[in-house]
Amino acid sequence: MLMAGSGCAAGHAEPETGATAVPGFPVVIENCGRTLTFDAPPERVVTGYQPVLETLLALGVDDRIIGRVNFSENGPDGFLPGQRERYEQLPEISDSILFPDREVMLALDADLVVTEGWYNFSESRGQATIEELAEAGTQVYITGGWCDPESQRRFQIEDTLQDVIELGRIFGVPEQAEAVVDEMRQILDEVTAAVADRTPVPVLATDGGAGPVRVYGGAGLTHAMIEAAGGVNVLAAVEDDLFQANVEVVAATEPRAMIVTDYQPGPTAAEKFTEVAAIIPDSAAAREGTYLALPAVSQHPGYRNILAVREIAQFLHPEAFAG
Amino acid sequence: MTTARPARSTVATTPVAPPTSEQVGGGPRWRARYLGVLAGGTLLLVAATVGSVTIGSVPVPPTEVLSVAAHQVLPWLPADSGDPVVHRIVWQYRMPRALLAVLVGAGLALVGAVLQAVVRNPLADPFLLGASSGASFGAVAAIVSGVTVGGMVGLSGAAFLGALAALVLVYVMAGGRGRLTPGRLVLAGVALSYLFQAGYSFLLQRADAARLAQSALFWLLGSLAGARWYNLLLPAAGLAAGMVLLLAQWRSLNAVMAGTDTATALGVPVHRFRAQMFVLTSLLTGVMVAVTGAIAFVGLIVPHAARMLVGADHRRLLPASALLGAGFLQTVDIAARLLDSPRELPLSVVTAVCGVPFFLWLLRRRTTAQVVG
Repeated sequence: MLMAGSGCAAGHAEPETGATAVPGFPVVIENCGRTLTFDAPPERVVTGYQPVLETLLALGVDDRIIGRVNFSENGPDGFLPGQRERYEQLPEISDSILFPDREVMLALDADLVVTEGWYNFSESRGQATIEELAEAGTQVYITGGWCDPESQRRFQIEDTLQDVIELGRIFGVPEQAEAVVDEMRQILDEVTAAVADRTPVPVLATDGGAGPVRVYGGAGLTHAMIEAAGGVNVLAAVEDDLFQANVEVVAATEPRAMIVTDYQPGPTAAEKFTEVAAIIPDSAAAREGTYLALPAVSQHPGYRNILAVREIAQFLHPEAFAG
Repeated sequence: MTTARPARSTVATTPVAPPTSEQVGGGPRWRARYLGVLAGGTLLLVAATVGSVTIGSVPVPPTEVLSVAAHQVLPWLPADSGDPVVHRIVWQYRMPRALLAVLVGAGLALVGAVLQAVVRNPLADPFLLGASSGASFGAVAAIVSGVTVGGMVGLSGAAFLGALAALVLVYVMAGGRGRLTPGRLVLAGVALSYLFQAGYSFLLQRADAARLAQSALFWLLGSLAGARWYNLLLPAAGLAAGMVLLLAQWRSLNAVMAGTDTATALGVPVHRFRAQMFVLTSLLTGVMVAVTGAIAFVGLIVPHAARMLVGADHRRLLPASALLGAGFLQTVDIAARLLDSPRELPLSVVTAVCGVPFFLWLLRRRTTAQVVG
């Protein structure tokens, strides 16, 4: 009687205290200056752009996802192996890479939103703000420390690894997160070892344009990937991420290779390369047509960054990976 | 000279006060001022142009700029420093850009001066009658659809087609062959501008255009950054033709500015004349906007400034507007390149910031009160 009574009492108490319900919870995380508190792993999760979904798939928590945005800008082949099927099974809540409007977002009644950027909560675009979501009981986790344009420029590769560890804690899968981080660390170490003795290759990263030219300066994710992959950004002196450069600034560079952001619709990577190569016809990159069409998805914080670092390193130093 | 002088009696009934004979430029005082403005305007334009080719995000010593330019113009002179990068920066980018500033600044101011007379409205500018929003719609459609084959050329072509479409639509809506009154012209132009704005805003807001919106927005605010030798040809030809054809009409412009009745009395076929001027200025605007995007403010304020300085006689107003417009845009473009170097700023962001304080100062001076009323 006593045993059963106490057992019953404990059973009722469980949802209220929470502490004993799930091992390791509550989890408290600082994200973009906000304190996120989870008494239990989130069950209704909305994901932002592709890099976020890829990270969550790597953690194996895709069964919690109730909505995702549209990734068609990377084309039908823009998925990691085997992920397209999973993508197509998940409910689509927006027909672009951005979140839908406030009403759709709030009606989803999510308990967690994970997104790669601060720009997904624009009141002027009619989207729900982080505060409005909080009032509705939805917490927001922003990856890569992309809390605002300024912090977006301070991105480091380590931020991606940090995200995986924190998301592992939030979803109650710390071991899986550990394994993913080990895998990513191994890739980074391999790349570092392969390019260690190689002369860094001067690289211009661009999104095209005849004037002004959209290029990547010496701050932010794209710059960090170039540095990690054994390259040296020819516009490292400009402390900016993607910016609208004066054409003569580009004309004064001498890259041996170019990285061209690739997405649809709009000009193809080949067209953008031709456009920018015409500004620096004497550079080795232009003369030899050396460029890598890098899917836009790789230039956002997520699991794919690490794969992209290896891809860029293999492009810049093919001989280092030959064996 | 027995020119068409507007009558004083229409002063009270017209939106833009018609110039008195003194202001139109009869007296020696205005003649002296005109010469002074031409001299000052030329000085400003030359200084700004020299500044434009010597100043940039990449420092190039003025002597090297000079030697590159001299070698290109007079090939038998000793070759320049030999640094192909410096050569390309100066010759391929700075020179065409400086020339484009001259052409577009002059063209927009010229169009503004003519339209302010033709529709007798001080708010008239090259963008009032729809050509600019039509061009913007064409350009955004090209950018968003991804059909920008040939880069800048395809974009300019689409923009010009948009301007032409706007021209035809406004012409038909405003009454075409019949009575083309200023009121109908302005209302048709403004209404269609809203329609085109709605069109390109829709295209930009459309889901899959998120990434392209940034480059489209830059284009919408105007920039000379895309200047190359090959895209100077059309604006140059357009400006030359426009200047000759519009200046030839200075008597009719003076008459129309004074009012429909006065102009009719002076033998000007008012409605046909308006239609001609509308088509001519729309084409000229289309040619300019196709290359640079919509640069605001120049075509609105420069003609007013010129009118305050040289009076309202179009024989003097048109050349003075063109000269001051060229100098103004050249100066503003230097600022657009330097303020946030090595980033580019859209020109419309800078034109107003640079131009408004000067214009307010001009507006407060006593003599100008007579001209703007």
